[in-house]
Amino acid sequence: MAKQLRKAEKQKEMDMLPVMALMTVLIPVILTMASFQKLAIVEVNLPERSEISMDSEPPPPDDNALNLTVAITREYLEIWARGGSLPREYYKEMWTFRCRSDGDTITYDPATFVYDDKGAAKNPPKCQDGRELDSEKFRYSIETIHLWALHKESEEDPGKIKMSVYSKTDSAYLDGNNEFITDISLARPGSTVATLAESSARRLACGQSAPGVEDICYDGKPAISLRPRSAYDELAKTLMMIHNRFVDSPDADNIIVLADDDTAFDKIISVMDRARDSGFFKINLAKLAAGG
Amino acid sequence: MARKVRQYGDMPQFSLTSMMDIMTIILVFMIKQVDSEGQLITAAENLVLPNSTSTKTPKEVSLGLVVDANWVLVDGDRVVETSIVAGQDTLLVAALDEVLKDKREIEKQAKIARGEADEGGGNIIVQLDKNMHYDVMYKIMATCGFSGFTNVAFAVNQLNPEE
Repeated sequence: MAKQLRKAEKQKEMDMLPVMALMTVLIPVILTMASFQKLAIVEVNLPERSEISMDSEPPPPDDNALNLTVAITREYLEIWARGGSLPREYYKEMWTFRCRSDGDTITYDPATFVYDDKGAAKNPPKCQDGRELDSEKFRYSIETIHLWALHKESEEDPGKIKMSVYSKTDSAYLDGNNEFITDISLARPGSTVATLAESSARRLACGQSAPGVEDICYDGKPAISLRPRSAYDELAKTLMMIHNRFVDSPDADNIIVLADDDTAFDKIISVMDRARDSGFFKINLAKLAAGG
Repeated sequence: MARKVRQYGDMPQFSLTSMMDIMTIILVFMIKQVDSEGQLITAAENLVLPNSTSTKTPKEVSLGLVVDANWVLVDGDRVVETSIVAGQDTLLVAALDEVLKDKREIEKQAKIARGEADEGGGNIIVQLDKNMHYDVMYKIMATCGFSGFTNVAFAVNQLNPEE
Protein backbone atom coordinates (compact mmCIF):
# COMPACT_ATOMS: atom_id res chain seq x y z
CA MET A 1 0.00 0.00 0.00
CA ALA A 2 2.80 2.37 1.03
CA LYS A 3 4.62 1.50 -2.20
CA GLN A 4 1.52 2.36 -4.28
CA LEU A 5 1.15 5.77 -2.63
CA ARG A 6 4.76 6.63 -3.33
CA LYS A 7 4.19 5.83 -7.00
CA ALA A 8 1.15 8.12 -7.21
CA GLU A 9 3.02 11.03 -5.61
CA LYS A 10 5.67 10.98 -8.30
CA GLN A 11 4.04 13.30 -10.83
CA LYS A 12 5.40 13.77 -14.31
CA GLU A 13 6.45 17.34 -15.10
CA MET A 14 4.53 18.87 -18.00
CA ASP A 15 6.56 19.51 -21.14
CA MET A 16 6.09 23.20 -21.89
CA LEU A 17 8.34 23.36 -24.94
CA PRO A 18 5.67 22.57 -27.61
CA VAL A 19 3.34 25.18 -26.07
CA MET A 20 6.16 27.73 -26.09
CA ALA A 21 6.88 26.91 -29.74
CA LEU A 22 3.21 27.45 -30.57
CA MET A 23 3.21 30.80 -28.77
CA THR A 24 6.34 31.91 -30.58
CA VAL A 25 4.64 31.24 -33.91
CA LEU A 26 1.27 32.71 -32.90
CA ILE A 27 2.59 36.05 -31.66
CA PRO A 28 4.32 37.13 -34.92
CA VAL A 29 1.27 35.98 -36.93
CA ILE A 30 -1.08 38.08 -34.78
CA LEU A 31 1.37 40.97 -34.85
CA THR A 32 1.17 41.11 -38.64
CA MET A 33 -2.64 41.11 -38.47
CA ALA A 34 -2.95 43.73 -35.74
CA SER A 35 -4.00 47.24 -36.65
CA PHE A 36 -2.76 49.84 -34.22
CA GLN A 37 -4.33 52.74 -36.10
CA LYS A 38 -8.02 52.46 -36.82
CA LEU A 39 -9.15 53.82 -40.15
CA ALA A 40 -12.55 55.27 -40.91
CA ILE A 41 -14.18 56.93 -43.91
CA VAL A 42 -15.79 60.29 -44.53
CA GLU A 43 -18.42 60.26 -47.26
CA VAL A 44 -19.11 63.25 -49.48
CA ASN A 45 -21.63 64.14 -52.13
CA LEU A 46 -19.99 64.72 -55.46
CA PRO A 47 -19.49 68.18 -56.97
CA GLU A 48 -22.70 69.28 -58.58
CA ARG A 49 -21.13 69.66 -62.02
CA SER A 50 -20.50 65.94 -62.28
CA GLU A 51 -24.02 65.05 -61.21
CA ILE A 52 -26.06 67.43 -63.32
CA SER A 53 -25.72 67.51 -67.07
CA MET A 54 -24.69 70.93 -68.34
CA ASP A 55 -27.81 71.46 -70.48
CA SER A 56 -30.32 70.69 -67.70
CA GLU A 57 -32.23 73.55 -66.12
CA PRO A 58 -31.11 74.56 -62.62
CA PRO A 59 -33.73 73.78 -59.94
CA PRO A 60 -35.97 76.73 -58.93
CA PRO A 61 -34.79 78.50 -55.75
CA ASP A 62 -36.61 77.49 -52.56
CA ASP A 63 -37.33 80.46 -50.28
CA ASN A 64 -37.58 78.22 -47.20
CA ALA A 65 -34.26 76.53 -47.88
CA LEU A 66 -31.40 77.27 -45.53
CA ASN A 67 -28.67 77.00 -48.22
CA LEU A 68 -25.98 76.79 -45.56
CA THR A 69 -22.45 77.28 -46.87
CA VAL A 70 -19.10 77.43 -45.10
CA ALA A 71 -16.22 79.05 -46.94
CA ILE A 72 -12.58 78.38 -46.01
CA THR A 73 -10.16 81.02 -47.23
CA ARG A 74 -6.54 81.75 -46.30
CA GLU A 75 -7.59 84.27 -43.63
CA TYR A 76 -11.05 83.46 -42.42
CA LEU A 77 -14.01 81.08 -42.21
CA GLU A 78 -17.34 82.48 -43.31
CA ILE A 79 -20.87 81.15 -43.01
CA TRP A 80 -23.65 81.99 -45.46
CA ALA A 81 -27.28 81.04 -45.02
CA ARG A 82 -30.51 82.25 -46.64
CA GLY A 83 -28.66 84.71 -48.82
CA GLY A 84 -26.93 86.46 -45.93
CA SER A 85 -23.62 85.97 -44.18
CA LEU A 86 -22.45 85.93 -40.58
CA PRO A 87 -19.40 87.93 -39.43
CA ARG A 88 -16.17 86.39 -40.69
CA GLU A 89 -14.18 84.25 -38.29
CA TYR A 90 -10.61 85.39 -38.83
CA TYR A 91 -7.80 83.06 -37.87
CA LYS A 92 -4.04 82.76 -37.66
CA GLU A 93 -2.73 79.52 -39.08
CA MET A 94 0.01 77.72 -37.16
CA TRP A 95 1.80 74.52 -38.20
CA THR A 96 3.05 71.98 -35.67
CA PHE A 97 5.78 69.66 -36.96
CA ARG A 98 6.98 66.42 -35.39
CA CYS A 99 10.74 66.05 -35.61
CA ARG A 100 11.89 62.52 -36.37
CA SER A 101 15.33 63.22 -34.96
CA ASP A 102 14.29 64.03 -31.39
CA GLY A 103 10.56 63.19 -31.37
CA ASP A 104 9.63 66.70 -30.15
CA THR A 105 7.11 69.05 -31.71
CA ILE A 106 7.80 72.54 -33.00
CA THR A 107 5.16 75.12 -33.94
CA TYR A 108 5.72 77.70 -36.70
CA ASP A 109 3.77 80.51 -38.25
CA PRO A 110 3.70 79.52 -41.98
CA ALA A 111 3.95 83.19 -42.94
CA THR A 112 7.56 83.20 -41.70
CA PHE A 113 8.78 80.78 -44.38
CA VAL A 114 10.60 82.27 -47.38
CA TYR A 115 10.50 80.19 -50.56
CA ASP A 116 12.82 80.10 -53.58
CA ASP A 117 11.74 79.78 -57.24
CA LYS A 118 11.46 75.99 -56.99
CA GLY A 119 9.14 76.19 -53.99
CA ALA A 120 11.74 75.05 -51.47
CA ALA A 121 11.91 76.92 -48.15
CA LYS A 122 15.05 78.97 -47.59
CA ASN A 123 14.46 78.78 -43.84
CA PRO A 124 12.94 75.34 -43.17
CA PRO A 125 11.73 74.53 -39.64
CA LYS A 126 14.50 73.75 -37.18
CA CYS A 127 14.09 71.02 -34.55
CA GLN A 128 15.11 71.55 -30.94
CA ASP A 129 18.22 69.43 -31.50
CA GLY A 130 19.32 71.85 -34.23
CA ARG A 131 18.49 69.70 -37.25
CA GLU A 132 16.48 71.22 -40.09
CA LEU A 133 13.51 69.56 -41.81
CA ASP A 134 13.65 68.90 -45.56
CA SER A 135 13.33 72.29 -47.30
CA GLU A 136 11.11 70.87 -50.11
CA LYS A 137 8.99 68.28 -48.34
CA PHE A 138 8.73 69.73 -44.82
CA ARG A 139 5.03 70.38 -45.42
CA TYR A 140 4.49 66.63 -45.34
CA SER A 141 5.85 66.57 -41.77
CA ILE A 142 3.06 68.79 -40.47
CA GLU A 143 1.38 66.99 -37.62
CA THR A 144 -1.36 69.51 -36.81
CA ILE A 145 -2.67 72.60 -38.53
CA HIS A 146 -4.01 74.95 -35.85
CA LEU A 147 -6.36 77.79 -36.70
CA TRP A 148 -6.18 80.31 -33.83
CA ALA A 149 -9.28 82.50 -33.74
CA LEU A 150 -8.56 86.23 -34.04
CA HIS A 151 -10.55 89.21 -32.83
CA LYS A 152 -10.37 91.96 -35.47
CA GLU A 153 -11.90 95.42 -35.36
CA SER A 154 -11.43 95.94 -39.11
CA GLU A 155 -9.91 94.29 -42.20
CA GLU A 156 -6.64 96.15 -41.63
CA ASP A 157 -6.42 95.28 -37.95
CA PRO A 158 -3.77 92.53 -37.45
CA GLY A 159 -6.07 91.09 -34.78
CA LYS A 160 -5.71 89.75 -31.29
CA ILE A 161 -5.68 86.03 -30.52
CA LYS A 162 -8.82 84.92 -28.65
CA MET A 163 -8.13 82.74 -25.63
CA SER A 164 -10.27 79.99 -24.11
CA VAL A 165 -10.12 77.54 -21.25
CA TYR A 166 -9.55 73.97 -22.48
CA SER A 167 -10.03 70.69 -20.66
CA LYS A 168 -7.47 67.90 -20.26
CA THR A 169 -8.95 66.28 -23.39
CA ASP A 170 -8.78 69.47 -25.51
CA SER A 171 -12.45 70.44 -25.26
CA ALA A 172 -13.29 74.14 -24.98
CA TYR A 173 -15.47 74.99 -21.97
CA LEU A 174 -18.67 77.02 -22.32
CA ASP A 175 -20.51 78.83 -19.53
CA GLY A 176 -24.25 78.90 -18.79
CA ASN A 177 -24.82 81.54 -21.50
CA ASN A 178 -23.20 79.30 -24.13
CA GLU A 179 -20.17 81.59 -24.30
CA PHE A 180 -16.55 80.40 -24.29
CA ILE A 181 -14.96 80.63 -20.83
CA THR A 182 -11.97 82.97 -21.11
CA ASP A 183 -11.02 83.24 -17.44
CA ILE A 184 -9.33 80.15 -15.98
CA SER A 185 -10.55 81.04 -12.47
CA LEU A 186 -14.14 80.41 -13.66
CA ALA A 187 -13.34 76.77 -14.42
CA ARG A 188 -12.42 75.60 -10.91
CA PRO A 189 -13.65 72.54 -8.98
CA GLY A 190 -17.32 73.06 -8.16
CA SER A 191 -18.14 75.12 -11.29
CA THR A 192 -20.68 73.86 -13.79
CA VAL A 193 -19.58 74.08 -17.42
CA ALA A 194 -20.42 72.53 -20.79
CA THR A 195 -18.47 71.65 -23.93
CA LEU A 196 -19.44 71.84 -27.60
CA ALA A 197 -21.00 68.36 -27.47
CA GLU A 198 -24.78 67.97 -27.06
CA SER A 199 -26.04 67.75 -23.43
CA SER A 200 -22.53 68.05 -22.06
CA ALA A 201 -23.16 70.09 -18.88
CA ARG A 202 -20.97 68.77 -16.09
CA ARG A 203 -19.66 69.78 -12.67
CA LEU A 204 -15.92 70.14 -12.36
CA ALA A 205 -14.21 68.30 -9.54
CA CYS A 206 -10.72 67.38 -8.41
CA GLY A 207 -9.98 63.71 -7.80
CA GLN A 208 -13.48 62.39 -8.38
CA SER A 209 -15.13 61.16 -11.55
CA ALA A 210 -18.77 60.17 -11.96
CA PRO A 211 -21.61 60.68 -14.47
CA GLY A 212 -22.03 64.45 -14.80
CA VAL A 213 -18.78 65.11 -12.93
CA GLU A 214 -15.43 65.75 -14.62
CA ASP A 215 -12.12 65.25 -12.88
CA ILE A 216 -9.99 68.19 -14.02
CA CYS A 217 -6.96 67.33 -11.90
CA TYR A 218 -3.78 65.46 -12.64
CA ASP A 219 -1.56 64.51 -9.71
CA GLY A 220 -3.84 66.54 -7.45
CA LYS A 221 -3.48 69.77 -9.45
CA PRO A 222 -5.93 71.26 -11.98
CA ALA A 223 -4.77 70.32 -15.51
CA ILE A 224 -6.99 72.66 -17.49
CA SER A 225 -5.31 75.39 -19.54
CA LEU A 226 -5.90 78.80 -21.10
CA ARG A 227 -4.94 78.48 -24.77
CA PRO A 228 -5.57 80.18 -28.12
CA ARG A 229 -9.13 79.36 -29.13
CA SER A 230 -9.55 77.22 -32.21
CA ALA A 231 -11.49 78.78 -35.09
CA TYR A 232 -12.95 75.31 -35.62
CA ASP A 233 -14.55 75.56 -32.15
CA GLU A 234 -16.04 78.94 -33.05
CA LEU A 235 -17.38 77.38 -36.24
CA ALA A 236 -18.84 74.37 -34.40
CA LYS A 237 -20.63 76.62 -31.92
CA THR A 238 -22.21 78.73 -34.68
CA LEU A 239 -23.20 75.67 -36.74
CA MET A 240 -24.90 74.04 -33.73
CA MET A 241 -26.83 77.25 -33.09
CA ILE A 242 -27.95 77.40 -36.76
CA HIS A 243 -28.96 73.74 -36.78
CA ASN A 244 -31.09 74.12 -33.64
CA ARG A 245 -32.74 77.26 -34.96
CA PHE A 246 -33.52 76.06 -38.50
CA VAL A 247 -34.28 72.42 -37.78
CA ASP A 248 -37.59 72.62 -39.74
CA SER A 249 -35.91 73.83 -42.90
CA PRO A 250 -36.22 71.40 -45.89
CA ASP A 251 -32.42 71.27 -46.21
CA ALA A 252 -31.68 71.32 -42.47
CA ASP A 253 -29.11 68.50 -42.84
CA ASN A 254 -27.29 69.95 -45.86
CA ILE A 255 -24.12 72.00 -45.96
CA ILE A 256 -21.80 73.09 -48.73
CA VAL A 257 -18.11 73.47 -47.95
CA LEU A 258 -16.28 75.92 -50.20
CA ALA A 259 -12.51 76.27 -50.23
CA ASP A 260 -9.59 77.90 -52.00
CA ASP A 261 -7.42 75.79 -54.31
CA ASP A 262 -4.49 75.68 -51.89
CA THR A 263 -6.50 74.77 -48.80
CA ALA A 264 -4.98 71.71 -47.11
CA PHE A 265 -7.10 68.54 -47.14
CA ASP A 266 -6.74 68.40 -43.35
CA LYS A 267 -8.69 71.69 -43.02
CA ILE A 268 -11.49 70.36 -45.24
CA ILE A 269 -11.81 67.22 -43.10
CA SER A 270 -11.76 69.29 -39.88
CA VAL A 271 -14.56 71.56 -41.14
CA MET A 272 -16.53 68.50 -42.33
CA ASP A 273 -16.14 66.95 -38.87
CA ARG A 274 -17.51 70.07 -37.17
CA ALA A 275 -20.41 70.20 -39.66
CA ARG A 276 -21.29 66.54 -39.12
CA ASP A 277 -21.01 66.85 -35.32
CA SER A 278 -23.40 69.83 -35.49
CA GLY A 279 -26.04 67.78 -37.34
CA PHE A 280 -25.24 68.53 -41.01
CA PHE A 281 -24.78 65.07 -42.48
CA LYS A 282 -25.15 65.75 -46.20
CA ILE A 283 -21.94 67.49 -47.15
CA ASN A 284 -21.29 68.89 -50.62
CA LEU A 285 -17.95 70.29 -51.70
CA ALA A 286 -17.41 73.17 -54.08
CA LYS A 287 -14.59 75.51 -55.09
CA LEU A 288 -14.33 79.17 -54.22
CA ALA A 289 -14.09 81.30 -57.32
CA ALA A 290 -10.69 82.95 -57.80
CA GLY A 291 -10.45 86.06 -55.67
CA GLY A 292 -12.91 84.70 -53.06
CA MET B 1 38.87 21.57 -8.20
CA ALA B 2 36.77 18.39 -8.31
CA ARG B 3 34.08 20.24 -6.36
CA LYS B 4 34.04 23.09 -8.92
CA VAL B 5 33.60 20.71 -11.87
CA ARG B 6 30.69 19.04 -10.13
CA GLN B 7 29.01 22.42 -9.61
CA TYR B 8 29.12 23.42 -13.29
CA GLY B 9 28.31 19.90 -14.45
CA ASP B 10 24.87 20.02 -12.76
CA MET B 11 22.80 21.92 -15.31
CA PRO B 12 19.99 23.81 -13.55
CA GLN B 13 16.44 23.05 -14.72
CA PHE B 14 15.26 25.77 -17.11
CA SER B 15 11.89 27.02 -15.85
CA LEU B 16 9.49 27.91 -18.62
CA THR B 17 6.56 28.77 -16.40
CA SER B 18 7.34 32.47 -16.05
CA MET B 19 8.04 32.69 -19.77
CA MET B 20 4.67 31.07 -20.44
CA ASP B 21 2.97 33.64 -18.25
CA ILE B 22 4.50 36.49 -20.25
CA MET B 23 3.62 34.86 -23.55
CA THR B 24 0.01 34.28 -22.48
CA ILE B 25 -0.40 37.92 -21.47
CA ILE B 26 1.09 39.12 -24.76
CA LEU B 27 -1.13 36.73 -26.72
CA VAL B 28 -4.33 37.85 -24.99
CA PHE B 29 -3.38 41.52 -25.53
CA MET B 30 -2.71 40.93 -29.21
CA ILE B 31 -5.93 39.01 -29.79
CA LYS B 32 -7.74 41.98 -28.25
CA GLN B 33 -6.01 44.32 -30.66
CA VAL B 34 -6.97 42.35 -33.76
CA ASP B 35 -10.23 43.57 -35.19
CA SER B 36 -12.65 40.67 -35.49
CA GLU B 37 -14.25 42.24 -38.58
CA GLY B 38 -10.95 42.80 -40.33
CA GLN B 39 -9.90 45.99 -42.09
CA LEU B 40 -11.32 46.72 -45.51
CA ILE B 41 -8.87 49.56 -46.05
CA THR B 42 -5.15 49.51 -45.55
CA ALA B 43 -3.33 52.77 -44.99
CA ALA B 44 -1.06 53.58 -47.92
CA GLU B 45 2.62 54.27 -47.44
CA ASN B 46 4.21 57.65 -48.14
CA LEU B 47 1.27 59.64 -46.86
CA VAL B 48 -0.29 60.78 -43.60
CA LEU B 49 -4.06 60.59 -43.41
CA PRO B 50 -5.93 63.38 -41.61
CA ASN B 51 -7.49 62.68 -38.22
CA SER B 52 -11.25 62.71 -37.99
CA THR B 53 -14.03 62.15 -35.47
CA SER B 54 -15.80 59.94 -38.03
CA THR B 55 -16.43 56.38 -36.85
CA LYS B 56 -17.91 55.12 -40.08
CA THR B 57 -16.12 52.15 -41.61
CA PRO B 58 -16.58 50.71 -45.10
CA LYS B 59 -19.08 47.86 -45.32
CA GLU B 60 -17.75 46.30 -48.50
CA VAL B 61 -14.55 46.14 -50.48
CA SER B 62 -14.12 49.23 -52.65
CA LEU B 63 -11.65 50.34 -55.27
CA GLY B 64 -8.68 52.06 -53.64
CA LEU B 65 -7.24 55.32 -54.97
CA VAL B 66 -4.15 56.82 -53.34
CA VAL B 67 -2.79 60.32 -53.89
CA ASP B 68 0.61 60.93 -52.30
CA ALA B 69 3.13 63.71 -52.86
CA ASN B 70 4.42 62.12 -56.08
CA TRP B 71 1.85 59.80 -57.66
CA VAL B 72 -1.82 59.01 -58.11
CA LEU B 73 -2.22 55.25 -57.74
CA VAL B 74 -5.24 53.04 -58.47
CA ASP B 75 -5.15 49.69 -56.69
CA GLY B 76 -1.42 50.16 -56.17
CA ASP B 77 -0.59 50.93 -59.83
CA ARG B 78 0.87 54.33 -60.73
CA VAL B 79 -1.43 56.23 -63.07
CA VAL B 80 -0.35 59.86 -63.21
CA GLU B 81 2.05 62.17 -61.40
CA THR B 82 0.45 64.35 -58.72
CA SER B 83 2.31 67.40 -60.04
CA ILE B 84 0.61 66.94 -63.44
CA VAL B 85 -2.82 66.84 -61.76
CA ALA B 86 -1.97 69.96 -59.76
CA GLY B 87 -0.73 71.81 -62.85
CA GLN B 88 -3.60 71.11 -65.26
CA ASP B 89 -6.41 73.63 -65.70
CA THR B 90 -9.23 71.22 -66.49
CA LEU B 91 -11.23 69.34 -63.88
CA LEU B 92 -11.01 65.95 -65.60
CA VAL B 93 -7.78 63.97 -65.16
CA ALA B 94 -7.75 62.11 -68.49
CA ALA B 95 -5.28 59.33 -67.60
CA LEU B 96 -7.12 58.58 -64.38
CA ASP B 97 -10.51 58.72 -66.07
CA GLU B 98 -9.39 56.07 -68.56
CA VAL B 99 -8.23 53.67 -65.83
CA LEU B 100 -11.28 54.25 -63.68
CA LYS B 101 -13.68 53.66 -66.58
CA ASP B 102 -11.98 50.31 -67.25
CA LYS B 103 -12.24 49.36 -63.58
CA ARG B 104 -15.89 50.38 -63.52
CA GLU B 105 -16.61 48.25 -66.60
CA ILE B 106 -14.93 45.23 -64.98
CA GLU B 107 -17.00 45.84 -61.84
CA LYS B 108 -20.21 45.98 -63.91
CA GLN B 109 -19.38 42.78 -65.79
CA ALA B 110 -18.60 41.01 -62.52
CA LYS B 111 -21.97 42.03 -61.09
CA ILE B 112 -23.80 40.87 -64.21
CA ALA B 113 -21.95 37.55 -64.06
CA ARG B 114 -23.09 37.12 -60.45
CA GLY B 115 -26.67 37.93 -61.48
CA GLU B 116 -26.76 41.16 -59.47
CA ALA B 117 -28.22 44.45 -60.66
CA ASP B 118 -25.71 47.27 -61.05
CA GLU B 119 -27.69 49.92 -59.22
CA GLY B 120 -26.15 53.24 -58.27
CA GLY B 121 -22.56 54.12 -58.98
CA GLY B 122 -19.36 52.37 -58.04
CA ASN B 123 -17.72 52.72 -54.63
CA ILE B 124 -14.28 54.20 -54.28
CA ILE B 125 -12.16 55.04 -51.24
CA VAL B 126 -9.65 57.84 -51.76
CA GLN B 127 -6.58 58.19 -49.56
CA LEU B 128 -5.06 61.66 -49.69
CA ASP B 129 -2.20 63.10 -47.72
CA LYS B 130 -3.47 65.51 -45.06
CA ASN B 131 -1.45 68.35 -46.59
CA MET B 132 -2.63 67.79 -50.15
CA HIS B 133 -4.16 70.89 -51.76
CA TYR B 134 -7.92 71.07 -52.22
CA ASP B 135 -7.44 71.67 -55.95
CA VAL B 136 -5.93 68.19 -56.41
CA MET B 137 -8.57 66.60 -54.19
CA TYR B 138 -11.37 68.29 -56.14
CA LYS B 139 -10.05 67.20 -59.54
CA ILE B 140 -9.63 63.61 -58.34
CA MET B 141 -13.12 63.59 -56.85
CA ALA B 142 -14.70 65.05 -59.99
CA THR B 143 -12.88 62.50 -62.18
CA CYS B 144 -14.19 59.67 -60.00
CA GLY B 145 -17.72 61.00 -60.59
CA PHE B 146 -17.23 61.34 -64.35
CA SER B 147 -15.98 57.76 -64.63
CA GLY B 148 -18.92 56.26 -62.77
CA PHE B 149 -17.59 56.01 -59.20
CA THR B 150 -20.20 58.25 -57.63
CA ASN B 151 -19.94 56.93 -54.08
CA VAL B 152 -16.73 58.64 -53.00
CA ALA B 153 -15.35 58.30 -49.48
CA PHE B 154 -12.11 59.62 -48.02
CA ALA B 155 -10.02 57.49 -45.69
CA VAL B 156 -9.14 59.11 -42.35
CA ASN B 157 -7.47 58.13 -39.12
CA GLN B 158 -10.09 57.58 -36.47
CA LEU B 159 -9.55 60.02 -33.62
CA ASN B 160 -9.72 58.42 -30.15
CA PRO B 161 -11.37 55.17 -31.34
CA GLU B 162 -11.59 53.93 -27.75
CA GLU B 163 -13.87 56.78 -26.68
